[in-house]
Amino acid sequence: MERSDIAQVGARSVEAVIAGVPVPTDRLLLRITSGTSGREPVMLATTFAARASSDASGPGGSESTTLCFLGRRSARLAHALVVRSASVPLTTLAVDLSDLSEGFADVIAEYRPDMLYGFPSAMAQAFPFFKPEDARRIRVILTTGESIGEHLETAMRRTFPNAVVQELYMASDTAGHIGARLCPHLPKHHFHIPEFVTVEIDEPDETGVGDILITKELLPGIAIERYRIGDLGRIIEAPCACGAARSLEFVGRKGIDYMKLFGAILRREEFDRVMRYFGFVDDYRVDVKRDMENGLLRGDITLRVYSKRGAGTPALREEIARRVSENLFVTANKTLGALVSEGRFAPLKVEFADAPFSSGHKDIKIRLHSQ
Amino acid sequence: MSHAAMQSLIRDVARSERSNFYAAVWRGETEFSKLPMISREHLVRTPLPERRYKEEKSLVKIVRDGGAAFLSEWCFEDIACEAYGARSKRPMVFMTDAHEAIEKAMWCYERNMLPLMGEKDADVAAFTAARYKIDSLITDEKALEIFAPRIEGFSEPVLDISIIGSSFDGAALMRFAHLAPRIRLVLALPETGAFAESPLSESPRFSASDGCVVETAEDVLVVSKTRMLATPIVRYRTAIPSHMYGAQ
Repeated sequence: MERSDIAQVGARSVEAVIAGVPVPTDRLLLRITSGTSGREPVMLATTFAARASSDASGPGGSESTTLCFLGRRSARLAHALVVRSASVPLTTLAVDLSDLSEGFADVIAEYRPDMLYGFPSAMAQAFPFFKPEDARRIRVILTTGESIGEHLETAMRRTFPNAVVQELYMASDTAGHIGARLCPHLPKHHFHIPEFVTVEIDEPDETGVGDILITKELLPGIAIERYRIGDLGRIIEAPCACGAARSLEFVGRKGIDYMKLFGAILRREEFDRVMRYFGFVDDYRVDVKRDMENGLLRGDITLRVYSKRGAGTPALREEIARRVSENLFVTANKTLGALVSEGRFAPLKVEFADAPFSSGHKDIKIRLHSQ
Repeated sequence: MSHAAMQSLIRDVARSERSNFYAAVWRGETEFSKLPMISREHLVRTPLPERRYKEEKSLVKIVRDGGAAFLSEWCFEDIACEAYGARSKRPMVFMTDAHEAIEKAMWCYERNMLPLMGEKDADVAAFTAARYKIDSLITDEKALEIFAPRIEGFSEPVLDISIIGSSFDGAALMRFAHLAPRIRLVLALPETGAFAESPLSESPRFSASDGCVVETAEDVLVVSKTRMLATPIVRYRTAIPSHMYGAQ
């Protein structure tokens, strides 16, 4: 299924609810996804997972007082429903962007949250409002909706020293829950898959990475089937210490955080690893394009870096290019430098940006530019 | 008013081990009509944990009062008892304030109705409303002003509209009269919930909702509720002019 199929399934699910479905009302939810690129919003009627209520709890299913950072009002309502269905007293306050103004620090101090839930980029806007004593009270940060970028995670751990960072893998066009990283044994971007979701990897490459396909029942008799969500991942068939038989590794958004061209795999995590060497670099972006050289198509990468210290010298740019080329693995055993020697890529170019890079809803580092 | 119910609440509140918020104001007085009043100022200056009388699963809202903000907590069981809207098959909530919208949507769930949450974008809200074929709407005047032209284009009729607010100009609101056969005005504040309602008319005359007491003091309305809420409402002096009540 593609996104256009989801719209049709969604319409059928809403019609089914209007006609009457054998599901208790308080297990139903109307979800709305954003319309993008001129497309209409997609509306889905779905049951929501009772098990998800445990995700709203603190560690071990304990009581929690949550600050919720979600965009869509229907998503905030979904979270409120999860709180309502919990077996322990939970309290939630759904933060609206308009709340992040003068006085919000006092709100936090009065409300005394111990858990943050929602989009990491939205949470980040609230960081400056946390006094140290209130930040130390945060025990759990449960993120969803977007990957936690390296810089944001660093800021998160610095701001909230006592918090465990967990992740939910959710998408509104799949009616929410796909996977969860709640157990302490999983690395970042790895998720256990609940029993009500089927995950497949379509056309895996030699590393097992391919398109993530989701199968999930929305309502009795209505399901999304093998829906290509637009993310890339791979299944890890190895038992987890928590007892789960397998896990899903989220690699990135197709064509954005992970891409393949000319025999190379460009992964954001690999760029993150290599760029850590350059402590003075505060942020970076990778622009990728296909280039024609002497009648042959090859890859062309420009690494744009931003440093608060200012623009680097030509010598520094060359040093960065050299070190990245020598250390960035783009195949299982070859670096970018090796592929440049083979003519498959142009020599890496490095530029310094004059200003910080803007961050949108998704922290996109690698972009493939069409010619 | 159920005098017995109110006196019972007063006893429970006065004796509460969780909070002495009201006890500090009442200073031993127990007769309802003689209880000193509280106002929004009391809520603003008293942190929520100090005026919390019970701990249950709840929503907390941020309420802005000019430059100040305070928190209002609502347990789900208490939301269920509010008189926000009408029973319907396919209700929609479309409100200006997101906190209020979530609470009213939860009210629908508590009343066993599946609500459509109207997104802030009115075009998205209208698209989903038409798709869901809503038959009732919970809204406020400002939101209805935005949404009204879209309602007029729906193929399925909206049968009930509840306009929630703390101030109503009946004559001005008559511009919405054609939108649904039944339109009610619901007097409410975020911190008190709904306490009175009136059918839409040029000169609304409000009736107190069940479990609510509405008094007049110095030309403003004073509200009390017999139910033990997270922060109970007992002789809560509002800034709502009493002449607007058109008391029944």
